[in-house]
Amino acid sequence: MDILLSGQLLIAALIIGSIYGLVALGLNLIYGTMRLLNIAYGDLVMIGGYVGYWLFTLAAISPIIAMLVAGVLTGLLGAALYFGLFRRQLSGRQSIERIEANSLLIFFGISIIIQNVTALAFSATPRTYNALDSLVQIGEISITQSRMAALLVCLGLSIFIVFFLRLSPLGLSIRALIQNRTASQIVGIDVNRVQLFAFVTGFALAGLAGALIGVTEQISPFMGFPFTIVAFVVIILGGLGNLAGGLLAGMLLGIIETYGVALTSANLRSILIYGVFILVLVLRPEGLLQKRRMT
Amino acid sequence: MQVLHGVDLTVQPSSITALVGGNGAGKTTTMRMLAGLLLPKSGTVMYQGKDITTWDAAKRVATGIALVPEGRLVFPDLSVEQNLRLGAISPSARPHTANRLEQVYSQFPRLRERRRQIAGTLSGGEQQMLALGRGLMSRPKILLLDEPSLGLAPMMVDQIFETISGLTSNGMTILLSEQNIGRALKMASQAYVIENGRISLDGEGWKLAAKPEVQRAYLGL
Repeated sequence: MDILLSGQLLIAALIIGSIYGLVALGLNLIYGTMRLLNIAYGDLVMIGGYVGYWLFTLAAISPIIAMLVAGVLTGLLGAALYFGLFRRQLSGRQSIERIEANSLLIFFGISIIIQNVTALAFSATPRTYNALDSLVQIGEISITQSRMAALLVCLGLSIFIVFFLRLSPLGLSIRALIQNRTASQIVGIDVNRVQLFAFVTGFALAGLAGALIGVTEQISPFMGFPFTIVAFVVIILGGLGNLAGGLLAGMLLGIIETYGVALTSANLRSILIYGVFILVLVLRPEGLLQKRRMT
Repeated sequence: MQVLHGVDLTVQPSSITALVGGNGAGKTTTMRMLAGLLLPKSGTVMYQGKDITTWDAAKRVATGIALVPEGRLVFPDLSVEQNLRLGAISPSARPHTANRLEQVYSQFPRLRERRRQIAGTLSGGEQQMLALGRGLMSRPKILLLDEPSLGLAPMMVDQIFETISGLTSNGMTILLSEQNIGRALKMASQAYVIENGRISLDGEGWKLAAKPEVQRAYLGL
């Protein structure tokens, strides 16, 4: 029982929760504003992981710098995909009605391409590296610098984004677009520009988080899928398109996973996550935190 | 699906033009086309002498065309004030937000009282005021009002029509689409009757209201 009360376990839960929250935030921005189901999302996390790995291995660049590079690279990939594939889909009157199903298929293809190109380029062998691995001591708790950095960056960035959405005109436009696309056009929001911003930001967040995750986990071309699943579980828990709800849900899932595994066994991790997912879909499909809309 | 087949209408500055007709006649499609939400397959939309047929909605709002849509379409999870601020989100209107907000609040004191309330919890009439206020926030030169009285209690309908008359006496140009045809024709200097996507009649509002075919078909006389 002692282990359940330890600060060590609590901080582990917070670290995982903050990573889940940030990863889901990016997915939610893209789904909320455009109804695009990005199931290649975890592969962007993987790209971020490799960027961090190679920059450190080849040039001894710290993961803190590498995460910015990874964010820029995945952001640019996002811009290319937006202009190349999705802008047309989003502006056609017929294609927008099928956008969820179409985007699912398109992103499925993108996911496979990214995974295979990575496997061809870097082989499928999992890799690890040791950076920021000295311990930080906070009272009784000791954690590695890399995990500390993940906690601070993910938490800080998530809070920053939530305030940005609440306080800036662009943030207000994003929230408006999430609620009603036609009304957003009517008030004169430059929908195309807001979509591009949400798309690129969502991609960048995944790459950035990936560079941090790659420090503590094995990097392989196929590491992304579990993150895609987790991100979808989190945004459904928090209510699709509800950005602040997704952050809380990420934290909640991190806590459930960490304490669940501590109580049972690491082998049950996936069962716990999928179990929560199915329970929520059955009991509260609109999400745990989504207020029931008045009609 | 083609809804409109030949809609030729002109809106004169500083007056009310009415577009009247039954359900499904093509009023909302016309309004949405003018706001830039739909593109016409053929034909042109002219505004102040310029061809704006291919302009998107954002660009039209920036040059002074504002739609107050059928069904109001307020942002349900945002506050009244955030809804109004979004009305002035266009780059040309944004610097005037504070000023404009004050004008809208003095015109609709009810909105000021409720400015922190979530728009989805307002009554239908209040939401219509909010949609109208949001349209005015962009400092429009022409206001497209699509069925502003639809689904409102009679007292609320009176108030909305009073507001609309008030706007024209201040020089606003209005295109008003209505199923409440008697009311609309009485207010309008110019009116068009739309049937099955075609303009079937046009003329001065009071003259149309006096025509036997209009009276029979729409006014129940």
